[in-house]
Amino acid sequence: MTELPDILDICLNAVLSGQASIEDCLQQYPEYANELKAELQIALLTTRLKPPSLSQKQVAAIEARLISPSSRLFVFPQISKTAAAVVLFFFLLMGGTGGTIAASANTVPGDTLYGVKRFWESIVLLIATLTNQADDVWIHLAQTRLGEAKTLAQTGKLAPEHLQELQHAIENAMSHNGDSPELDHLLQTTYHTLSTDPMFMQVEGSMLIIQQIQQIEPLPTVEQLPPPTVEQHEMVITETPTVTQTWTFTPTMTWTLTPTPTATSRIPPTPTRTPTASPTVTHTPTPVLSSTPTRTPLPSVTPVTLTPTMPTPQGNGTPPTLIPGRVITSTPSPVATWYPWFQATFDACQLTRTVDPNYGIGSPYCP
Amino acid sequence: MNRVEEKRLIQAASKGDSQAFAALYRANVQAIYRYIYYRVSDAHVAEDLTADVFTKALKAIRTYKDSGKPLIAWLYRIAHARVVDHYRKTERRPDQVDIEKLSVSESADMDNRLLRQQTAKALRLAISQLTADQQQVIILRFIEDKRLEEVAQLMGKNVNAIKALQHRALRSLASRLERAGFKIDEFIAGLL
Repeated sequence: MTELPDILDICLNAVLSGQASIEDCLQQYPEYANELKAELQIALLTTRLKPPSLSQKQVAAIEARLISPSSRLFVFPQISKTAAAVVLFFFLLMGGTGGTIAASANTVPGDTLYGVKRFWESIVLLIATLTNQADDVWIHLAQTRLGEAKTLAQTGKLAPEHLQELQHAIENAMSHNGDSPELDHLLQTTYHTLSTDPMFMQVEGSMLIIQQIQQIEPLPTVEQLPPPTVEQHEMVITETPTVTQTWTFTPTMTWTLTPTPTATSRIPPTPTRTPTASPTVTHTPTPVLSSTPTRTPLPSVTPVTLTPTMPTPQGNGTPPTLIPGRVITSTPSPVATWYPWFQATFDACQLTRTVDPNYGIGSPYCP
Repeated sequence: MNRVEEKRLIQAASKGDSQAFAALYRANVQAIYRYIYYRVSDAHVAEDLTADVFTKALKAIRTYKDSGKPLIAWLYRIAHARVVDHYRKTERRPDQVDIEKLSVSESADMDNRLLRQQTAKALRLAISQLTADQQQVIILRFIEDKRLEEVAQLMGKNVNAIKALQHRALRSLASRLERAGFKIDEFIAGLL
């Protein structure tokens, strides 16, 4: 069944293109005549409004301001990413401030080291601007401001100025990004947080941000959310699925270590392995894997890489050879226990990586 | 300006070519001005905010990421942010102006030209009081004369959402003007 918005659009196309009159449409859809009439009339009237426009003089005046030498001051000299990385490294070395910066990464407004965090952000932002990557940094900064606001909300310390900071970062992220998925994700996450958390709703400025996002961003369902970014990575850490694995091996093998000392050697005797039990295995078992991921929120999960191997039954007394088995890797988790300072290091690393994509590669704290 | 040419200019502008940026500016400035004008209902404010939008765009063009949409979609986003910022700074909302002050209950006796001016003013004011989404649909669809699919692309919504917005916006405009005493029937009859 065709709904009124569809019928309205059919009629609008016909009336505005001159193929039909308003009366023709009303006759065609008499059940909607009253509503259609008013809406078609308003649409027609709107098309007849004389569109406002800037005069040629006004256009030229703005253009002159835009391309004047003073406005081009924004064009920073382009420097390479390597140079930027060197500058960052230099900063870290100079003050030996790496640890301090890492420690400040988790701070919120009011904390002692919060100023260090903001100072570091301004350096990263400056370098990112020089290397043409400010768009990514602004998104990261907006995510950081949102994270801080969440923390402050939990402790009841969220104030309007914190939301102003968030809004400022979001606006910069918006103006530095086209329609990137990262920006969409930021806006959606912010909208969701601000519109569902009662602690946010109480603070002045919250509604303004919600309205701003609501007006500009098509809000998708959860299924439509883009792939996780740094912020969701944190969620993965705290809600890593546990994988239960049961391995059953039917063969049994007993090995006895018999040390063989030598008279002249001061080196402790080297044990040699001799199998004393004859393998009785006649069946090559298949490992039984019971892998049931559950979303049990556990703060820490050891990353597991299991390489099940099976001894090959051999009758000649040589140790069993290892057969490459099936490798099962759990959801990556940087370390066994996610201490707060890991998070700080992780955040600092991610921030630095916005400037130097290769920074911290191989580090368990910077996956 | 076609997309190929636009992409070429964006690329050049992102490398510091001011003439390329100027060409992009000239191609989009009037549309952005109209968008802002209908949202703030003030020519001077609209002019200032339009300049702001392009200043922001100039600063950010080097980091612009092409997502397949025309540049104007990005400029509309910046313009929206500027308008919101303007209202925040001035602590004034568009709905603080009462459309009923423009009431023309004696419209039948009024000079046609005056009536037209008054109606146009009331309609512009009514548009400025819609929600931002509704405003954008009305501006793009009936002032910029864009097809529904183009509006959907520019606003990043699906066509059905735009149809619903269009319906709600027109219904809202009709009821606002009706409440203010404008007899659209008579006015339309005079126009056609």
